[in-house]
Amino acid sequence: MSAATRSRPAAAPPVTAGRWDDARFEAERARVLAGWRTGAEVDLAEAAALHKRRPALANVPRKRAWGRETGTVLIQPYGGVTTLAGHTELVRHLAEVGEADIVPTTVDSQTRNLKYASAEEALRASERQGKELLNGFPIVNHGVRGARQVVEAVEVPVELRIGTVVPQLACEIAFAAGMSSVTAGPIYYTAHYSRDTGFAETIANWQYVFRLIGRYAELGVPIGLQIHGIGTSTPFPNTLLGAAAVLETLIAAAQGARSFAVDARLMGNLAQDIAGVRAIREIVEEYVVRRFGYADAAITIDRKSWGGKYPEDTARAFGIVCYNAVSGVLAGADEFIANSVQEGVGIPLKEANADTLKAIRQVVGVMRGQRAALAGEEVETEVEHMKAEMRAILDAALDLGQGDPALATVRGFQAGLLDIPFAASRHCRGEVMVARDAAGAVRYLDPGRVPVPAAVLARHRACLERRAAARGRPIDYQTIVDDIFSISRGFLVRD
Amino acid sequence: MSTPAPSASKGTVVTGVIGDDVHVIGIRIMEYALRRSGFAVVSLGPLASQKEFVEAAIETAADALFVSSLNGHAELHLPGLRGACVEAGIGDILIYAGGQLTIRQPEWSGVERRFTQGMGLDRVYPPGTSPDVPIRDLAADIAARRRRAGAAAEASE
Ligand code: B12
Repeated sequence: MSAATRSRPAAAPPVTAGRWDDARFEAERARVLAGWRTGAEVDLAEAAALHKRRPALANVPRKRAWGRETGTVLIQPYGGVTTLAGHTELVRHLAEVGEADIVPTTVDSQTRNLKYASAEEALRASERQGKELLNGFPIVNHGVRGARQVVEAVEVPVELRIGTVVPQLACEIAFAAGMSSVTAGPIYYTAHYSRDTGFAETIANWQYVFRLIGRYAELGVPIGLQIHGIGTSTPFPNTLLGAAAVLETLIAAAQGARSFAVDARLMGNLAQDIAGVRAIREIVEEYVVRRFGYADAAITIDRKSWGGKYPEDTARAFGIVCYNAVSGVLAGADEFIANSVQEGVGIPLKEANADTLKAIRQVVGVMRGQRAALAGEEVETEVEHMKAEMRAILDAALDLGQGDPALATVRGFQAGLLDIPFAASRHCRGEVMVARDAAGAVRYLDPGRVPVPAAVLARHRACLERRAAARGRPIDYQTIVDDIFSISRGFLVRD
Repeated sequence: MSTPAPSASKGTVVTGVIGDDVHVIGIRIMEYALRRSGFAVVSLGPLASQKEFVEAAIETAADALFVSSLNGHAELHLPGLRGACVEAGIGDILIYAGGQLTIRQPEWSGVERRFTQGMGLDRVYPPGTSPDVPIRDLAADIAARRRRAGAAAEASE
């Protein structure tokens, strides 16, 4: 682990969402850029000039704003391989054959954990053997010069995809290379990409990136964020995601970020998933724009497909991909972030990845202009309940954090007001338990300490009781496990 | 971390996800199944180093290591684990690995050979393995070892 990026000053500043002053940022910056030799290639002014030379729609925030204005649903795949030649070819294929609107640069997990020396070894071995040995693109090793070749290989904008609690140097390199968005933020990555790192430390590390985005904004270059909130890869209520997304967005906005694509995830039940997109959009706007006053924040909602186990059979995976597309369009999602049909196989081949995008594009195209909306009582009730629940969680957490979203995050997780099942982090209590009801909708089996309003909880419990009654067996741990695997087996529930 | 096995237990297993890997869901399910089958589990969680596996095994006199890896970096993190056990004086501990040990899914028999013969692991499992298979193997492997140890003790008396 590079001591340069990891070590903090003896007395860590108190947890607050307050904007970093220049002295703190500059001191931290010197340390971050010294983390690997390519840090020296970063030059903010020169990078800003490069961004400005690119066409307007080669910038992620502008592309997202354009999509929203014109009603064009954007499609972005995942993807990253080890070598520069391989990755350049990949993004080109995704842009040209897959017609991706935004191309990804997914970073490998050695880099995500600051193991630059071993990433270097694997990179050299990959080049020698003509193989892709890492699970992503080691952007820090490739440096600004290498990453620029990726950006310049395509006309569409590039988003850095990196799940990590130590994002600073990778983001410096990516932005300096002309990439114009990054997947964030501190809550999701503490919960699922670390074991020991606390929320306060991750918040500070990400505040650095958010302030860097603020610096670029001051130079006239918008850089975007894709906000994950707190999802997980087993069935979970999208309300937990939405509440955490509000906190992550507020923490980022305080440092000067303004473009937010917020996730909503497919769980499988159509009515609930449509409600999820709508409820998250409304709550993020309510808190970020109205309550906290970021009137110039641009907010879009992207639909993530099922994030858990996939079938290995790609034909069946196409079924999931297209179902997600239908549900996302009905919900009014602005963008799809698309797992490939080889999700259950391994790092996808570029051809399969591009084919996935074509399948989504086909669904979106056929549905365009139909204005079909799955409304009706079920969706409306779900939206209202979801909003009430997110407000209850947020207000309780913000209360505990004296109105400060960073403090609310730290204290909220300590108190279990914020929680998620199956987290990697020991800082998540993991007391909340969920299962599917008979129609596959995700319900609280046990809310733990999450302040779910009584009426919402009562409805969830009644739904689960109906499933238990219908099959004549209680909902237990084995049910939770079955629900984790169900989509990969071809259904939501089969009792 | 759970407490070491009482002597009546079927055995003690140290579990974890090795190296730079955070895919923890599968091993959590595995742990639950192990406990239900009467094993004591010492859970290291995600991002566990070889050193943590070895230290936990010594501390709890474990019978086996269950090493999970999904992110495609098993070939970066598993070599040397058997050697580290040998060096620490627990060279004959059972080592199983599972999850998704390679980038993509090359032909399984070759993968199996690389990880068993090549790296000295006892057993490895392909993606999608349900917990009861390794649990059955483990019970048999531990029983065989206990029989052997018993016979050796008798012979030396
Ligand atoms: C969920 C998931 C995630 C979650 C993990 C959440 C968490 N904290 O656990 C998140 C989003 C964080 C994630 C991140 C990444 N992921 Co991921 N992820 C998956 C996914 C979709 C499902 C994995 C899962 O939960 N399966 C369900 C569980 C229950 O099954 P299981 O793990 O196989 O476990 C069972 C058995 O295998 C067995 N078992 C497991 N371990 C062991 C050990 C022993 C000893 C034994 C006996 C048995 C055993 O028991 C379990 C119970 O039956 C898979 C794709 C897929 N398979 O569908 C990709 C996948 C594993 N991820 C992948 C990658 C590359 C990544 C990233 C690097 C990002 C990227 N480049 O795409 C990061 C890595 C971060 C890191 N530092 O490791 C790749 C791996 C590529 C490869 N091997 O070829 C996959 C295959 C996706 C893909 N197609 O590219 N991921």
